[in-house]
Amino acid sequence: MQAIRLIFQLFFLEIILYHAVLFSLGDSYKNCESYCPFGAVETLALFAKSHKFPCAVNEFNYSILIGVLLITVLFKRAFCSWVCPLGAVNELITRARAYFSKYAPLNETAMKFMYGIKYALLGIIVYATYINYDLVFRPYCPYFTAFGLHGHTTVVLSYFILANALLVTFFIKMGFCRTLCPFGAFLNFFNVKTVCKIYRDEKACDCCRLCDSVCLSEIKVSQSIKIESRDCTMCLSCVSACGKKGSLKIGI
Amino acid sequence: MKPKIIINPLILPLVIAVTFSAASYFAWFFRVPTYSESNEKAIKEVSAGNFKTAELEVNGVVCLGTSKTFAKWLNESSGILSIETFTSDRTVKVGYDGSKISADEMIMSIEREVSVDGEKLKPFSVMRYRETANSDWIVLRTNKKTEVDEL
Repeated sequence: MQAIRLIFQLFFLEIILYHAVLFSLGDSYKNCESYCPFGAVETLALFAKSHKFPCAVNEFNYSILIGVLLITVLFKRAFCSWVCPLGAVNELITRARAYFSKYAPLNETAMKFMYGIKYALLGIIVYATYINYDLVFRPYCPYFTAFGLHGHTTVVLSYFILANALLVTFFIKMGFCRTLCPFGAFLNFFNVKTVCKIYRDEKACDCCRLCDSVCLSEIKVSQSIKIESRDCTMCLSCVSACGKKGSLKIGI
Repeated sequence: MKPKIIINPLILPLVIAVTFSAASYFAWFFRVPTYSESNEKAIKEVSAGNFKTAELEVNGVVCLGTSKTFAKWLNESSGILSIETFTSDRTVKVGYDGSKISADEMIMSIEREVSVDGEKLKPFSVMRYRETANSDWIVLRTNKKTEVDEL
């Protein structure tokens, strides 16, 4: 299953990079922002007000957003671990960092504060976009900086923000996705009572805690009966790693 | 606690693949104009034989702002009756009075130069065009970078 997920991540990463290169060569109109569902989130209030696509956002961004929301309602934040290219980069950094040394556990209060940052960012971005009638966050967007191949609004500060956003991942497992990503914050509003989730069969489980150690979001899988954490991205690492086959299942 | 229904994990990638394919198809099928305007009064006055439409791929029409600028730019020519822009593929549908302007004149008008800081630039360039939805595209150029992009 993890091999399939890797194929998916590489596929979506390749699509974004392919179009970014074509765009920079002048062979395509589509660049990374053409596929960005967060562009639709940013301009949702404006679209509701004016019934027009503001700035460079178009029906493609909105239809992808609808698709992502559908996936979220069904399978939690599966978009983050299966599709998002920035999520793939974060996972790569997390795995590389964990290979060399273990992540130190963080203070619970500090983590609660860190979790709040993404919601604050989401509010600020949506409000700033609404009052400015423009994608004002674009120059500071780590996704646009990373995959825009020095897009037209990218400045030195953009690279500084991208570097710092990724640096968080060196201290917190999947740090950017869990604490800073405003799109993750938006998806969490639809990630309350999802249709499918991971269930743990207590009778079959021998509490080896392998699932806890492989979880990228540091969820205590071995202490839960069903995984309802909003951090779960359905990467299925726990299901794949489980030594007792059948003790972790996806169900309704 | 046991789930009511157990799902094969392979369903998850399948749902993602189907959802994204459907979302892409949906976007191509239900195209929404980024900007549209029409002069209804002038359209009624034009005889049916003279009302013509052209679909153009215009480089430089990238967002709502540039769509409005393009409409203002094109409306400086006489005989333009309606304009619809689609920024997802940079196409523009133009309704025009064939007795006042031809497709070639319209393209020349779109591609006229403007002076910025003493330098002459073409803000919009027509990549290809066709006069009816079923006719073949006539390709004028292939490089999708505009002179404004190069600045």
